[in-house]
Amino acid sequence: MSSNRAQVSIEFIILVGALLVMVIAVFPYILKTNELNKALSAARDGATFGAAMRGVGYQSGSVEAPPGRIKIKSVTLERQGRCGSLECYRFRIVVMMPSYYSSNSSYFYSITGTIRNQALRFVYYAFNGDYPPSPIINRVNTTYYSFTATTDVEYY
Amino acid sequence: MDSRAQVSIEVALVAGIAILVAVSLVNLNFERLNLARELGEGGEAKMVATLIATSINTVHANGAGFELTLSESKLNFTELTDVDQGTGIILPIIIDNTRRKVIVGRNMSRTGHRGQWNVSVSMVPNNVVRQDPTARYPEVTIRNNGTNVIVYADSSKVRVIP
Repeated sequence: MSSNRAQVSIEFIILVGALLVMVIAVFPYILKTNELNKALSAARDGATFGAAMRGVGYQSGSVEAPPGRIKIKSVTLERQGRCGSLECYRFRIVVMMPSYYSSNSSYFYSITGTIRNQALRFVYYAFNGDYPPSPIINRVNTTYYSFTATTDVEYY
Repeated sequence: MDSRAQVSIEVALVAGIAILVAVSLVNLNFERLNLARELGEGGEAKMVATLIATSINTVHANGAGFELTLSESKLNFTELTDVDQGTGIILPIIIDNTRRKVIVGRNMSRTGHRGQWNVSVSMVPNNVVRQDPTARYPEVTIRNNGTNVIVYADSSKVRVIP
């Protein structure tokens, strides 16, 4: 019995050892991928929040756009090369809104600005546990990445 | 004893990875909680603006002598202004005759905003005035006297812009 147990424990040691080596080997990759996934989720949340609030009719600045169905069609990540020691990524946010918003360019700029800003504010919160002190934010830096945002608009 | 030791290493490994993953998602979950609450309360604030605008329109449309009262069960300013438990509305509620709008501001500090965000609802008349509430016309009574639509409310709660 004793001898059998020892054999099993050696197998466990080999298995656990191999697993440990594998986990340690891929750990930096897991951390980086986790950061990208987290940022993308947060950006999607922020963009949805911005679109919903503006869609209901809330205004954050002086531009009072009429309420309407403002939807986030997609949020994707685009690699932009390196920014110093960080890798640069840009969120491309595709927004759908009624065509009457196109009649006034200030509506368009105000709403897309809110959506970009909210997306980056939420990314900042996801990594820092607090919202940024500045009301407008153009870039968020994390351990490995630097994030910006752009918007495309489709009218319906 | 050996076997037990092996199991504890595995448990430590799995628990360690699970804790790392869980910790990395904490902020995301709080953020989603804030988002959901902010959107819900934003909708409530717009309902308040809609309620007031609809009431003003009704009183205006029914002519001289018509009045209605929005009792505390419908318009409770204490609950509406509470940021944690209520809707986070910033008083006073603005009634703008020039733009023919009822404007409600909200405290958006839950999502890190320092200023207020406003939402407005259109109304029909442009002859709305405010007066202090009386025993005959308690807060918030809206009355058509034939010349104006009068909103009986404290100036700290409702402000009318000519």
